[in-house]
Amino acid sequence: MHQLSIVSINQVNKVNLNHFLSVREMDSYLKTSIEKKQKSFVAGRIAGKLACLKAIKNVNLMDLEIVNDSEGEFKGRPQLFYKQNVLGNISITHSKDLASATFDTEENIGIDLEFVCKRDIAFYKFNFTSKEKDIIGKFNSNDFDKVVTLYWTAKEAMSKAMGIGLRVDARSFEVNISFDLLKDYVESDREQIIFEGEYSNDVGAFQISSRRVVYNNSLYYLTTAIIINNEIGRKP
Amino acid sequence: MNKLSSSRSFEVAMLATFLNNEKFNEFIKNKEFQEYLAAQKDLVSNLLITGFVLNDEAKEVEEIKESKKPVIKPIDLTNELIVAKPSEPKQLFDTESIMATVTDICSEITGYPKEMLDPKLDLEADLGIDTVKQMEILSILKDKYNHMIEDSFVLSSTPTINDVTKYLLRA
Repeated sequence: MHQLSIVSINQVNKVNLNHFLSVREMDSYLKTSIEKKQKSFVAGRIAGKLACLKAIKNVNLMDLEIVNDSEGEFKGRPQLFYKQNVLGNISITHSKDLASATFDTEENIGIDLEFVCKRDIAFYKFNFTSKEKDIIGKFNSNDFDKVVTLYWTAKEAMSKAMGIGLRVDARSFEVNISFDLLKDYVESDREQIIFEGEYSNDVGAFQISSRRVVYNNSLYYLTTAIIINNEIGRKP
Repeated sequence: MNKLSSSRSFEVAMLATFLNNEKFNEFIKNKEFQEYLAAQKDLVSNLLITGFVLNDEAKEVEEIKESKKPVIKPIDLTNELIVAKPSEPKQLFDTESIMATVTDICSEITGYPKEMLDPKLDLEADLGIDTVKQMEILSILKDKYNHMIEDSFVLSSTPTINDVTKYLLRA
């Protein structure tokens, strides 16, 4: 069972970083020159460690270290270390004022958080499959931005669960959801929706869960993806 | 020119040679021949006017016109292309203008002021531009320079504004 946490990026100012970051994490933090990036880095680390605390008790946060080397051993799948031992898999995301993370001792979970805003129509044009556009295109302009954001979080969560990130064409990841279910979710106050997604025509299948988050008058979608069937490497 | 028309123009040439022949000039003074010629006059003139000779000449003229047309046209087009190439693409696709466009788009999408967007900075590592914004920037670039961006191109493979500009100018 994976654990989820969510923190406010601005509240990072109020914490003593020495209590939250490991020595190497502090080093990365100090090397970052842009304040906005510094803050989201810290918020992401704290969110990851708080998610871990829900599963594993009695650890000091500064003894936990999140290691992510996108090119090396972990290939875009950050790991949580406790004194040289791997405790499990971490996935971190941030958007606007919030950071969020998942922790799981076994599974690779991908997470993505985005706040809803109007995006350039070119974004819609180049990143969604025709099947997805058939459904998204049915929504009016107000809900259109919500649905585009929700779909995007699903795609990014899937790519992070696979550990490849969106270094591939975003259309390789396809969201499978019925229009009626989606319409009901977008228009109602329902907090959570569960649907499926696939990678590259059924090579990988995912269970996706998306939550609605409202913070500082902004609407966010927080989406996690878990691989339920992965045949990558095998020809279909 | 095809085989048929070239053989016809050969016949025309042979007829001309025959008509200019001295022996033929003597021969046509012969009464018998003049009678024969008179008898054939209508037929021959008819043949000359409406028959293959005139038609063939007309065809040849047409063929010359036609063969001239494409010769003239490509020269004109080539001239236009030669004129167009150095002027238009230079205005649209030189390093400075592409970099300015890429910077404008990055600034608009991220909200960072243009001065902050040093072309040498890594969009993700240094500037903290997240994936969704990177993809939005890339999509706008795809829309603008669609023939210059491959489907497989992703921004993380070219992490700075300098790199994106170089990619767009690679061809």
